[in-house]
Amino acid sequence: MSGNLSILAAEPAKAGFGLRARAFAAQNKLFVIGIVIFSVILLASIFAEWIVPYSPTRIAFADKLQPPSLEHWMGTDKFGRDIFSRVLVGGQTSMMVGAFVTFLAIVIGVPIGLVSGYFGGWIDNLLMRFSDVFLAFPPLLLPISIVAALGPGLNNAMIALAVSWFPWYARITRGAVMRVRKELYVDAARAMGVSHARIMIRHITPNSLTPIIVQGSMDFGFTILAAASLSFIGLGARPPTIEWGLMAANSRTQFLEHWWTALCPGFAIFLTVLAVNLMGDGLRDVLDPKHGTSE
Amino acid sequence: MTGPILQITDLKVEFPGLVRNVRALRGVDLVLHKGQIVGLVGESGSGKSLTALACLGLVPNSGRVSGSIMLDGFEVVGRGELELGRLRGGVAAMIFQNPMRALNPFFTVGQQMVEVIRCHRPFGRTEAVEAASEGLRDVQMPDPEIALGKYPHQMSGGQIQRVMIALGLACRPRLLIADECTTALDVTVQAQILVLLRELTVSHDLSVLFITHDLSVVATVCDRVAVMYAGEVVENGSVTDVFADPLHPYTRKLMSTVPTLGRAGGELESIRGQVPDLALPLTGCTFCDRCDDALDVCAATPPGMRRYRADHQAACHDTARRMDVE
Amino acid sequence: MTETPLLAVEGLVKEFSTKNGVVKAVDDVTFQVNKGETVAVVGESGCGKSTLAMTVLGLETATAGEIVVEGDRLGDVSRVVADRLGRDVGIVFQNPLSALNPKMKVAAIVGEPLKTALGLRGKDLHERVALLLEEVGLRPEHMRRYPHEFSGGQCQRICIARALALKPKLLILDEPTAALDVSVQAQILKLLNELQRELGVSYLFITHDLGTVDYIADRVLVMYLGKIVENGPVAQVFSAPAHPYTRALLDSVPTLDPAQRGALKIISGEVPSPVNRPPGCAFAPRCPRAEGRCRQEVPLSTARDGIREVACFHPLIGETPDQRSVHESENNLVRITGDGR
Repeated sequence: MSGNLSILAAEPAKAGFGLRARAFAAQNKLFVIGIVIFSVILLASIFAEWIVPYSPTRIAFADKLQPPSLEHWMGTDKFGRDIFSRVLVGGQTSMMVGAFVTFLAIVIGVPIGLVSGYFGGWIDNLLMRFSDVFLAFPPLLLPISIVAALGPGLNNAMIALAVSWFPWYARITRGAVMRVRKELYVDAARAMGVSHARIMIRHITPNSLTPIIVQGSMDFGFTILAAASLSFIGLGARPPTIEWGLMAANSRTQFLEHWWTALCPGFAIFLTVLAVNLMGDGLRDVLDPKHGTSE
Repeated sequence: MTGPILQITDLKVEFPGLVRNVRALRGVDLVLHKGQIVGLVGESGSGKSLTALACLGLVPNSGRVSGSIMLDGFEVVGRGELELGRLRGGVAAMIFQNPMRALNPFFTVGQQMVEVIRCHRPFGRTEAVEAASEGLRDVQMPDPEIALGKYPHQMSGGQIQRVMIALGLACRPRLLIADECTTALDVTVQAQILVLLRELTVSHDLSVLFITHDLSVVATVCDRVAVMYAGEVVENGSVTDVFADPLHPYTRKLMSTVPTLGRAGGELESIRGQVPDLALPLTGCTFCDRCDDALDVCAATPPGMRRYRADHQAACHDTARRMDVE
Repeated sequence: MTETPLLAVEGLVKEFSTKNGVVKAVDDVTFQVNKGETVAVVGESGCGKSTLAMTVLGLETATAGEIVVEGDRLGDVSRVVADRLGRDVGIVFQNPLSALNPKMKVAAIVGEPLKTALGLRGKDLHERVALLLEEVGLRPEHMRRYPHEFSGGQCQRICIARALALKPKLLILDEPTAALDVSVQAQILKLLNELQRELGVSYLFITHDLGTVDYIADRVLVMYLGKIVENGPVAQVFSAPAHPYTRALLDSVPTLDPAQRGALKIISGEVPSPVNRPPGCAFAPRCPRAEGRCRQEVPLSTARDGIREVACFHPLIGETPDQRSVHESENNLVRITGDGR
């Protein structure tokens, strides 16, 4: 009798990492494209200071409002500053805004949704009505009001955005929790006398993360867009902060004849949001347990 | 047509993939004659459901099918969707395991039956409703007219399964393929459905390919049985012969691992190990790792199917050795 | 037998309010489980056996009735009671893969009750978990893996290991082999038998499969639409059933013996919905022996010689064979004979 029988199903000779990576890439093209673009943007932002061709603050009136050329890939603005360098450095601000706002919104929203979805009843009602207050405002009106109250500035803008964003996470989390709560392993834990707190932390949360991660990755892009919008109307970043929305705002008066002053920072916003959306969509497929692979 | 209703020859189905190449069916041979109920028995992963799907050309697109399936004289393998569409329902029909999921909860049973009937036969609305009613009567549905007006969630599993059988028979097919159709039902309801199927073979001139994991159901309702393991048929023959003297070790084990009534505390056997991974290239006999009677030759050479009685074949080296000696 | 039963359930009722009215899933159920014995609960869909298990366990709150564990009455399931139940009563569910948190390793899963109830940590915890895994036929190195890496049968072993972690006196098993392959079912049943011999744990075994009952159980409760219709030792109930429903169940089960193919008797109709409970005896509409009284009064459980109980006005035992054939020839029973051809 041959065949070494282990108690687990025999595993096929593990395909090499390269082969599996290629199979993964073939199945999840969107995700890979999104990740690649986003990584490039992220790396460019992190290392901006080292790779900028010109200092982003270098003013040279002689070169002002030059169209894109070999010396200035994205042209120059009304102060003669190289737009490409400013876009690169502005990326740092945008990345930070995206990360911070999304993080804060998650940290506020997820626990609310967790408690709400797990206990249900009057707790659910209370928490959800509280969130609904924030959801009832038309988009951007709430952050605008908060910033107007707190005073303009990037930090206040980020706080305002986080406060307006958290209800979405509360709702998403609540939905996921309500589904996971009905799973058999939660019943098993209750039957063993495990405390509610432990069930929520150990059993429910890890299994409810997927929609949060997917939404978070897409929100990264949307928050950048929202912050840029706030800056555009003067309520977000203020000079000398370099920020894409602010750059577009400052080009308002001249961009009809000098299109690159607004379009280039705009393109940076577009590319980032696109990359992040692709990532988010692809992430949903990757994390979905029912995802059919060639395995 | 005097030939067999269903003739499967060397059916192979493969699911190629970048990382794993799953050979789900490895050369299945099966014959079903007119008026017979043939049981196809196996556990999960044996390939029984896939064989059934292949008969109607329903293998998922990622699968590669080779071999031959002759359905009442028509070759199924390699046919296009249009031709298969005529076979499905007209020559052969299929009913599945979970009847509750088979109907759209949005529409009444009557509406769905009429829709299916009108797809296949040139009936007007009233005629179709008549046909639906008659179909329900044929499957012994209590109060057929009332049943037509009900929604799926208002009916029980057993009643919906009757509806599915009625739909399957709507175009008077010659073959009914039943894939675990009683597994999800209560045992008293299962008994009713089994009796119904038996009666339908006479009244509707029907042949049935009955797929199940439950040997006792096969013993009760089938005339012949084929036992599948890891994508192959390892034993087939008349129910009387196979159950009286199972020739393949897997069949013997299957019978002794099932707790049945009247065993009176006799010890249950168990089969050690697990079903092999179908992505692996398997040399020799697929059952050899788990077999108590394995010989040296079993690991190296796959046993071929040999006939031991008029209607009883098995693929096993040990059986061949024993029967040659006797 | 003057020994206190391990579990005594008295007059248990569990109601659910649905949009179609109040549904009594468990209707006045009384039974006992003694130390070291296996009591099986059988019935078809709608009989309430799973609800019974959940209510005894405390996952559902009983509407009425008493649950007594080793002589201690358990009132409303409070925190203290939940603790008590969590230790003395374990549960194994039907779907093994769903009963395990996919994001937790086996070590954490099996160790969870030990951690939360006994406060075990570190090396002690590790050793206990390794022991438990060995007891159910797995190996200590499996501790590091995730549930999805195991087959259905192995997952069920993990569930059993987890259920036994706190050395419960009673294990409730809700259709533990229903989702498993046939060849694996036998492995699990044999394991359960072995564990009972070693640990002396009692089982309350919920199932729909009569063959399994025959193999593993000492006594059986037959349920129909929320009530217990028959209760007694398996050997006696199966060889000489007292309730017509038990008889019908036994007759509907297909056997492996092709010579008995003609013996598949069917009864007409199906289990009524619990919302539309028939008046009187719930089985009366399908019962070949039903008479006027059956459709008006609900039969109560009557004990026969202290060992068996049956809730029926015309039970099958205590009857001469002639009387039985008279009853059977009336309507409702159909035989299929031989080949039909």
